[in-house]
Amino acid sequence: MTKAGTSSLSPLSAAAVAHDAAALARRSGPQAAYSLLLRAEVAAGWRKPSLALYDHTLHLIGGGQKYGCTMAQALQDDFDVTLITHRPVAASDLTAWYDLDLSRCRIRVMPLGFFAGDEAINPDRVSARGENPFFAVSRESGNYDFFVNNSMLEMVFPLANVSVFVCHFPERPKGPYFYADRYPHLIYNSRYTAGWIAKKWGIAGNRHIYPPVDMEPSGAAEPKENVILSVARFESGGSKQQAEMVIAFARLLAREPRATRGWKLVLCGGSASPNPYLERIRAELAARPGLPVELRVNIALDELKRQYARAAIFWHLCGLGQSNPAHVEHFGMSTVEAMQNGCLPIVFDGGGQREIVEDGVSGFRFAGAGQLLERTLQVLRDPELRQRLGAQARRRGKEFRRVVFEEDVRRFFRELAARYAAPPGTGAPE
Amino acid sequence: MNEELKEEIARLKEAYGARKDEARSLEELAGGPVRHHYPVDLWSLSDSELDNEMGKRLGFLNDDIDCRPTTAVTSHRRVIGPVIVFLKKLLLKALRPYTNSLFVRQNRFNEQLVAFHLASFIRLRRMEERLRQLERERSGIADPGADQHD
Repeated sequence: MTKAGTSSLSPLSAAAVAHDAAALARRSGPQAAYSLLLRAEVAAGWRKPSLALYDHTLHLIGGGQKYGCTMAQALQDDFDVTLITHRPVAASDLTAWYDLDLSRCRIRVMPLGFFAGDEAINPDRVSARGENPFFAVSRESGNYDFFVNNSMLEMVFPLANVSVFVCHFPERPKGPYFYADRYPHLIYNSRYTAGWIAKKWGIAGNRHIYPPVDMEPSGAAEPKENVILSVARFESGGSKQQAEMVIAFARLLAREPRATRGWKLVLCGGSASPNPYLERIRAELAARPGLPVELRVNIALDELKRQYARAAIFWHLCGLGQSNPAHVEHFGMSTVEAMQNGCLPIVFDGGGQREIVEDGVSGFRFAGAGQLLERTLQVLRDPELRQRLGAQARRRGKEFRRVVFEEDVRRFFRELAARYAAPPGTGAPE
Repeated sequence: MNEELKEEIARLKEAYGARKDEARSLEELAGGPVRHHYPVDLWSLSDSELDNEMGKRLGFLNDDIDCRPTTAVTSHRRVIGPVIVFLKKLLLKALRPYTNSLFVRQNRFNEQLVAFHLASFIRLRRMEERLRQLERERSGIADPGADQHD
């Protein structure tokens, strides 16, 4: 945090401004003086506050990126928004990927020489032995009134008047170039994430905003079919456990052939190519010819919506048998998407899933593979229970809609902006 | 009055913006000392974080195998600096036959050490994968025999 707000700018005369800025620059450096001038412009009502939203992987499709872009959409009327990233990405791509209107946002691409030859920008490559390549982003952050770090990238020191860190999960331990504790505001996406931020980084988040999920059917709900659906990326490390789903489904069919007759498992998800884990799933299927399992890789959004609309049950195993908290679902957007479509969720009892699925009310949570099979059989045998819990899941899913997210975001940033626009000296910006 | 103030703020922004651009370090920009590093508490890390740390540090060790000095010989003295640099270079050259044998030995040692650590790292990963497979079998999901090494 700069010390802009600690100086008085009254009376607002050219001489007084110059005097205050010079005093501040002597005391706290040129950034503090510059920040004071930025705030004076906003306080005088000459312009909207500027806001930079930084994401080092904006060029990739992902839940975290959707979170940031939806935030940008919600704020673009109140703020002059710039999206900062390192690799080229077109606004039209972001619009198409997340179904958003970002027409009033600018995109600023800042190439980082340190990662020039790399396929991905991997912060793990940064060590205390060398310089911090993200210093350029810190410097840039000081050109805005508000800076929102949506990257979970704790190596960016914030220099804006108001700085917000959005954490989807604390991926790295506290180590070289750790500055997450320099952000006065920390937004977290689930209580699970907040717990791990406190445990790993020793800092507390101060705003909880669940991710936006918008997968409600546009028309009337369609009749459900005998489909168990899974929607998850085919991670090369196998953390989403689709191969285990195939094995569990085969066991279910072998154990209860009557109750499971006519049911099939559909696995949907995105995948990079080549993907050894996807090959492993294919091998599992090849070893069990005739098993009613459909594999749908990289399908279009319309097709995904159709799958959600017809599926009666939703499985999510991410986290099962994991000792690493990062491999447990931090929130679980696809579970909410399924619930918004009236699919009955049966999900692993861990991570953010606990905050979404009310066990026995809007779905089931399981602790182990045996319980997954038991719960699934229970709902296969009882269509009335399936329907009732499916309706409850639909009700619960509405609580995570995009409009709810946007209202939360606007409320939070309007509070900050109101404090910021008050004449300097009446309250320190953060 | 407003216009005058606007112009003054624009002028000051330009001036301080230029000073900001000239700043070489975060300390200069932030106007005070900044803590950059925290020692990683290895005991608090999860298995995969430890795995990541091991890989990362092994990479650093690998980068540092060659321990021959690479920094240029310099002197901060203005007048006699070139003479000092010349003498230092002469001394280094004279000692090179002796230092080189030491460096060659040290480099060989470093190379063996890194290879040994890498082998241990690979073995550990394989053992962990086998353990995971056994755990999956025990929990009743996976089929025995999948993902075996060797």
